Amino acid sequence: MELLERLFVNIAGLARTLMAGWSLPNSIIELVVLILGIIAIIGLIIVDAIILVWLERKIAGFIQERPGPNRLGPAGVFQTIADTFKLLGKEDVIPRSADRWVFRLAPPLVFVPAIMLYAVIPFGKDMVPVDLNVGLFYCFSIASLGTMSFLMAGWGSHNKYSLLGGMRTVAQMISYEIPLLLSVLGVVMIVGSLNLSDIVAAQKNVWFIIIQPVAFIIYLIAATAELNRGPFDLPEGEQELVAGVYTEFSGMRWALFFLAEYTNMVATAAIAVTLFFGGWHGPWLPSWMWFFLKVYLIIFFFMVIKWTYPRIRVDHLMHFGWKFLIPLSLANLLLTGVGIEIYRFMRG
Amino acid sequence: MHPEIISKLASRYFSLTIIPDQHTTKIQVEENDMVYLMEQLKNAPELHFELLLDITAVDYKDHYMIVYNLFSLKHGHKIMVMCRIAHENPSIVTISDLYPAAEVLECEVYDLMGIEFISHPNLRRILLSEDFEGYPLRKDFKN
Amino acid sequence: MPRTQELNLNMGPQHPSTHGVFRCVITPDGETVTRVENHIGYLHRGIEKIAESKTYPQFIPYTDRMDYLCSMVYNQGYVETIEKMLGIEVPERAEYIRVIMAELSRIASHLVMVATMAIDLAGTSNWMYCFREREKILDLFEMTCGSRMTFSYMRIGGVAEDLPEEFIPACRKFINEFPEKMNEVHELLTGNEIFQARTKGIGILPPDMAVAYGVTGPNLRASGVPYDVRKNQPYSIYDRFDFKLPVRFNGDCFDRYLLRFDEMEQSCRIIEQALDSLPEGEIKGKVPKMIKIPPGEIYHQVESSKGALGFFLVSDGSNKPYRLHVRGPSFVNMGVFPELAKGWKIQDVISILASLDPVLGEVDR
Repeated sequence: MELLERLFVNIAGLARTLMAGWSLPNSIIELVVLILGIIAIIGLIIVDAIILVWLERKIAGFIQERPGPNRLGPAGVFQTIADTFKLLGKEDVIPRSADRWVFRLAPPLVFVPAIMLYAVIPFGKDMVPVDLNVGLFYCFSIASLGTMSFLMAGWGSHNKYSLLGGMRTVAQMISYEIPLLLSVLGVVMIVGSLNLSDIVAAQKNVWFIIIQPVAFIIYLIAATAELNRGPFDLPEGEQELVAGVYTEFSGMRWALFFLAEYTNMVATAAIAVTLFFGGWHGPWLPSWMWFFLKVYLIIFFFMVIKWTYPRIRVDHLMHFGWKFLIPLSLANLLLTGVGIEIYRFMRG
Repeated sequence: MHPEIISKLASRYFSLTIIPDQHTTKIQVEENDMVYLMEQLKNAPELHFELLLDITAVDYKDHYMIVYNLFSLKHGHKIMVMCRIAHENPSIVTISDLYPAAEVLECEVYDLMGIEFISHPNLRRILLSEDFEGYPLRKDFKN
Repeated sequence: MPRTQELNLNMGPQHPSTHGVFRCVITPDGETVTRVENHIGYLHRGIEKIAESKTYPQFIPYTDRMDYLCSMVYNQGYVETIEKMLGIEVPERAEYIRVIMAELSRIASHLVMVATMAIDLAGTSNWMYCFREREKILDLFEMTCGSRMTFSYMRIGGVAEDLPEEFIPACRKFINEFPEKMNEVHELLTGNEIFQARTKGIGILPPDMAVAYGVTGPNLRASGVPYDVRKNQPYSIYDRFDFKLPVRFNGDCFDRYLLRFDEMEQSCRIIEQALDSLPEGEIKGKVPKMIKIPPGEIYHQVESSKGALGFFLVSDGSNKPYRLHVRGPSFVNMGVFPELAKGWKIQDVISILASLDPVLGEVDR
């Protein structure tokens, strides 16, 4: 157990000792360890995406009373891999009237911020790639960068459906960024730090979902909207906008959007776990296992919501965001502040 | 449907003939009286045919026959109104201002049979492409 | 010099939710639709012209291919038109079988409507639930006539084949299970807040406008006008059955959606009664070998799942129709769509279109 718990920390330590044996300077050792960490994270993202695509299909199948993928491998687990090869082999189509550079840049630009989010997440005990003291702030500033690339995709495609999809993304993301941030502020006020490790450490005895239930619900709703997942998948809006911003993208370019969606979903769930579910805290199992268990539970929730809810209308979405979520999160913030003051007063 | 109402109308307003038929009430009317008759059929309280079901046309080689099928939701009776029009440059006044339903139905008749509906708001080829030549439901249509 | 310009959004003929090859050009102002223009005819096959070169029995398969979702009713409407012209008596048993088939077809068609409405609002799971039920009806059809989509089951003077032995228990089983299965749809979709927000009060069709535009069928009844050919001008043996005419009064998408459920319920009642009183006997009446119809015209109506379906037949005494015109209910219903969709959001246009339930095979004919 102890071995499993310290598995990744030990691997990093081993690499450090190994390189120290070759008498490399300290800065290079840290750089190599960092690169190893990045490779591990990318590997994690890809494995996660493969599992999640399969899981999503299976859950959709379960809800819709059909088997889902069941041909390739046991219970169809290799279906995603086969699909990836198919997407790699597809013709790369760029529409003649598209803005070539914007069109080409958009998919990687969606994907990069999605990866960058992982830098500050504490995956387990002593398992933070970069322990930033403004970790949470970094997370949200990076996450909002994705909006721009959606707009680039929508504009660059030179397609009316894409453009409408891009406009919807911007409207939606800007409106839901605010309640998202405001909901998180309650936690920050209690902990008094933006460092994600500190936030996890503060939840050693009690998870913040108990202290901040309203904030968690707001976070979950706003995060679903930020992820562009059903019932908030308006930028894609298959039934109205064909495929929204993705309409003109094919092959691997499209797959990058898809991959970014899943990467973002894991990151959002990871932040939710870190902020409200005690991060990697948990008995018996190794900390990182606890972390991923919680993350997958939240992702399961996202998936069930997507496959059972119809899509919301664009103006209802705006009304809901501005007229309900933002006032609610402000009220939550006020209550939290009052609560903290009362707590301090009681303790003297 | 009461034939006497129809005959009353016939004596009062226009030149219409009642065609005996075992299934429905059928009347035939002169082209000039058509719109007026339609107005009466729609608005006269004892007739009140507010639902226009169908408009179609038949090519009888020497003339065209336009057929309107109306139904009265209030009284539950139906009527078939026929109107004979000339074979050369066939045209008739639209009833789409009376019955908005006629708009698409008249378009269809124009598209397939080539009958012009005078003062129709948007007469166009509705089923066939704009550059289609000829009117396929005419008996003299050749591929 | 920058200037504002109108955007024309072309929806269809290849679009996920235009129910086939319907095309409309939308002029949106932001997300609000200011103008809609219908463009139909992508599936036009000239069926009325084909009819003129086919003998009367030969045309039966073409009727299937108009409304492929509710084709039994189309079969029925066509053969009844000819029987009425010829004055043929149809055996009792055949009449009952026809009614059973027509009502099953109606349920199947309404299930497709509910399913597509759900999927057009991105409620994908309901699609599967409705199609699972429809599959059972198709199994029943396959059992009876060997075909699942285009049946050509009805013949002039009767039906093609008698019901197989296993049909009646299977049909009863389906009818008994059906309300419970529909409850699943209600639980998942009908009660959903988002679904209600997207359909309640959307695309309101006032009764006078509905009548003026010749809208018939469930769309008209959802606006509060109780017109159904089965009740108002009973054909076949519909006057023998005890069934209600469901009417709803708001005329919005939600009412049009719910009305389909009411209708399916009533169809189940009709089928139940028909199964209970199904007489023994012949399934085909005496029909001359060569069908020639005395000269004359007839306009015969039946109630399809989309509205009043009319066959206008002109005969010149030969064995082929001189002129056959079909009044497609969705064709006329679609005439109101530009008026109805004006002023709503792009997303509402989709739900309004879905709630009107057009089937393009019959719009374009």
